[in-house]
Amino acid sequence: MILDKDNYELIMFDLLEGNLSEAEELLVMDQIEGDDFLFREWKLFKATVLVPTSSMVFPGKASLYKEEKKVVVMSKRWAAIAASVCILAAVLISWPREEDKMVQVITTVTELKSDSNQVVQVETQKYSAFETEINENRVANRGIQKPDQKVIELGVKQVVNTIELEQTILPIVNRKDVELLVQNKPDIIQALPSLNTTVPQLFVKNSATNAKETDLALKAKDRAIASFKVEEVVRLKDKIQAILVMASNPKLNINTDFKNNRPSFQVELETKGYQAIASIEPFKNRN
Amino acid sequence: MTTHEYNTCVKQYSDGIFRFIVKNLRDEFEAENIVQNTFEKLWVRIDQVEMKTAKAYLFKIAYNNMIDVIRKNKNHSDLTSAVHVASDNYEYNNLIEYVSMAVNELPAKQKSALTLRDYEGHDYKSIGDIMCMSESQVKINIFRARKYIKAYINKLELMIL
Repeated sequence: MILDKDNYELIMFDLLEGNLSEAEELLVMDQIEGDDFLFREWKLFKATVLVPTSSMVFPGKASLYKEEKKVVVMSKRWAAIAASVCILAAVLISWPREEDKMVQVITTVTELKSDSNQVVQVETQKYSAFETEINENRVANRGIQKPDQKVIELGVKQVVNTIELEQTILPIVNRKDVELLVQNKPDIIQALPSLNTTVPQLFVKNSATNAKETDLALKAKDRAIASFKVEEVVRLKDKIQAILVMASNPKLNINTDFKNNRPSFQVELETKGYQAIASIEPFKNRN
Repeated sequence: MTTHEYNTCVKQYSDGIFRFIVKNLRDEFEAENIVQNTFEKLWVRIDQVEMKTAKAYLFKIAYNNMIDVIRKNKNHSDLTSAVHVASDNYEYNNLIEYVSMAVNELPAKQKSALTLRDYEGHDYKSIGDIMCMSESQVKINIFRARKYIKAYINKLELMIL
């Protein structure tokens, strides 16, 4: 790479831009330093590099910033406590129980042909009160039903005693155009006879006890199928009771070692192939 | 891109974009508007822009805004001439100011390519992406710009040796 008057600007440019290899740079620099004209030209080329003025800053920078979402960092100790509580609660709530199959929530009003006893079963969500949320389309897409059937979803209410049962069921059964079906819920079925006199259209199905199905008014077009779901608190209570009954080897360890700041609490439950262990040791990492 | 990354972009690139626009437009007020608009566009598309491409994206938006401003501003060339005439009478004894004068006389493309190269350290490819031209075109523009500045300084018989 020999510099001459025709190519020196291009080569100096490449040298300045860092486009040459190390060997080429050395070769070119040797030639530049050995020639006054080339040396002066090189100085001029080097002067063409713009130097940013750091004093020039954008004055409106503060207005460009956006507020970031604050992340709350929980200490390991409290995170461990929270996680333990959550695990314990999740285990208790989701512990498998045979009775769950009997408390399926079904509350619908459906249009059936007068000679059909087909039961439409549609699982519904929990609602705060009867008939407060009616959604034909959502329910119509689920369950087993004929295309021409009209399905109206009613709310579900917790039923814990006869009085509430009355209050819950009567608003439905007193409707002339509605039949009520309660299935697989012995407590409710047992309480129903006292309501029968006031319920003109009642359809009781209890496959668990083989009770005879009673078809009181097949002329009615609509049928309500209602069973009841226990609310979370009651359900949780039931779960705990069920677990305690089923638990074959429950253990509760409470370590009150406050002297060394190492108190702890541990629960162990074992039943039907399931084992749950939840432990809290809040001061484990404290020095 | 997250909000945190967006704020990082503001911190890292807003000054550079501002300098780039001021150097090319020589209008700080207009440069402020362009920087504001540029980051507003980034914020709107925050979900579509990745952090690693944010710098090139921002400079491209700013460059395009600047070109729009130059096109809209019919008096820009008159303004440039006026400033140049005024600065002719100013006694410069600083090399940087001589170079600055020379840069102000460069054609827009050469000026933009050179400022992106020297102020922000972009390589030829990213400059090409920003200015929508090939790498060889970028190199030619920068070469011509340096050659012009060298000749300008030489013409003024600046004593730099």
